[in-house]
Amino acid sequence: MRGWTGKLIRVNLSTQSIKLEDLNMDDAKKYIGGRGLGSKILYDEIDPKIDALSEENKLIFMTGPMTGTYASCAGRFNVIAKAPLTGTIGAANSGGHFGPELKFAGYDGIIFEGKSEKPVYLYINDDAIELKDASHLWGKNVFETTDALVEETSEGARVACIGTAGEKQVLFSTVMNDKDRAAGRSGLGAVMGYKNLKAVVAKGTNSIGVADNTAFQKAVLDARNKIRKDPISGIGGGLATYGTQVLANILNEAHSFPTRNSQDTVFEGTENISGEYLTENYLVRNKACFACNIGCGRVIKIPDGKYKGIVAGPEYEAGWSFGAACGVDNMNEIDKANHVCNMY
Amino acid sequence: MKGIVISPEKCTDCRLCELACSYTKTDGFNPKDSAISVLSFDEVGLQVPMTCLQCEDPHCMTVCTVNAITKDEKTGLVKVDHDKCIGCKMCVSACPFGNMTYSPRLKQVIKCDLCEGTPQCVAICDTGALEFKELDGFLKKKQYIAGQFKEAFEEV
Repeated sequence: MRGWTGKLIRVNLSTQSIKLEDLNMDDAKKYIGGRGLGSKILYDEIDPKIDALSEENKLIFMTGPMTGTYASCAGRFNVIAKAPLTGTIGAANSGGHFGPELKFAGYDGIIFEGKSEKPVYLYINDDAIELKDASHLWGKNVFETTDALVEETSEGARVACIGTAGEKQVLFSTVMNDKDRAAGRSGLGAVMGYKNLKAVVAKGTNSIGVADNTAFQKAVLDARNKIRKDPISGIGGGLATYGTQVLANILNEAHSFPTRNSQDTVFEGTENISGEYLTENYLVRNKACFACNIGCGRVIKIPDGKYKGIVAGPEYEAGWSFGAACGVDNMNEIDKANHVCNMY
Repeated sequence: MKGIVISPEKCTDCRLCELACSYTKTDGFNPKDSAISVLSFDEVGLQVPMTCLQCEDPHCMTVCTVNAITKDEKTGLVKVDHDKCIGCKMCVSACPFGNMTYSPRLKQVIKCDLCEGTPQCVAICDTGALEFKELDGFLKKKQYIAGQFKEAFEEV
């Protein structure tokens, strides 16, 4: 079947061995997509009673059959492991460009087992896959690590890594890719940190084909035309114009904006932390993930003050949690807090 | 004469243009086999899609020793005849903008041919960063973009 590359990488960090295996196509059809298939593999391969931060836990990076194609928003991938934060299956998905690059390198996913003795990173460059020493990167933040790895591997390589929070196994730490996209849910950065796996670097030159070109083009175009006309996701819609922070004013007006640690549902300072305010005073441009025709991501410029500079803008989650939930109505502070989270 | 007009300030770095191009011209999706590429300058928040400008006096055509590259005087299109091309890659070196690429996988040069008048990269671009239109009166736009570059460099 096309769409899938049909190959998985299995890395045992304890023995430092790397093996290729074929994708189980029955499972791929039944549990379609990165989250389904990754969860199925985890379910089959680990004992549910294990400690999330133990050698028995496995960390899985998985893409879907459409990742890397031009289907709308098909640039995503999933990170799956038993989650240290919740004790259940943790599946965190992220956009950016890492997932497609893994597919272009020729692999649908990676399964990490065991625990490395010293810090390592996995470098995938088409057929060449190797574990490399990452001692010099341990202690570096996400931005420093990403820049250093692109420099020492190859130009155009895409990096998914942990910052110092993941290294120290903070229970809500994330796996970060392309600097400011996060596989954030359920603390999977801690699993990566426990395994002494600092980063995964992918670069690929292969093509991804589809089985039925005519049907695929029609399905993608139909879906895209629906998205284009949508008042929220469409051209000139809420998400493209104001980013996900467009929700702030909407939820505030609906009296469901979690405020001061959820003691209130209306925040009097919403105007100053809204998507509208961000767009008017900070926006440099929209930044989309791979193959996404919505483009809710923001590149913003903090124009003055001690946080001056160009950074990735806050999503609704950061805008709400550092803003209303903390009783903060200063956009500079929220932007900086969001940037620090991305960094570590 | 119509051409692809690029507005970098509108580009979101989604790379759909690269995917549409490679899927139209080859057997699958592959940004490395695309005639259009987005160059990203994250530190200043700038993305620039780059593709063949269909030059009036194309260097790629001048250096081609087997006359595989020709320019259509009526449409302005600069075209590669892959049957004549011997893959010497002189044109890749000659293009002052780096818009001629060579795919080792396909063993041929990759160059924009405007998809017979309906460029697929433009068709898929929802942001307005790519437009296919008559080429005239762009001074205002040039000023705007030059201003953006100036601002960006001041930042650095």
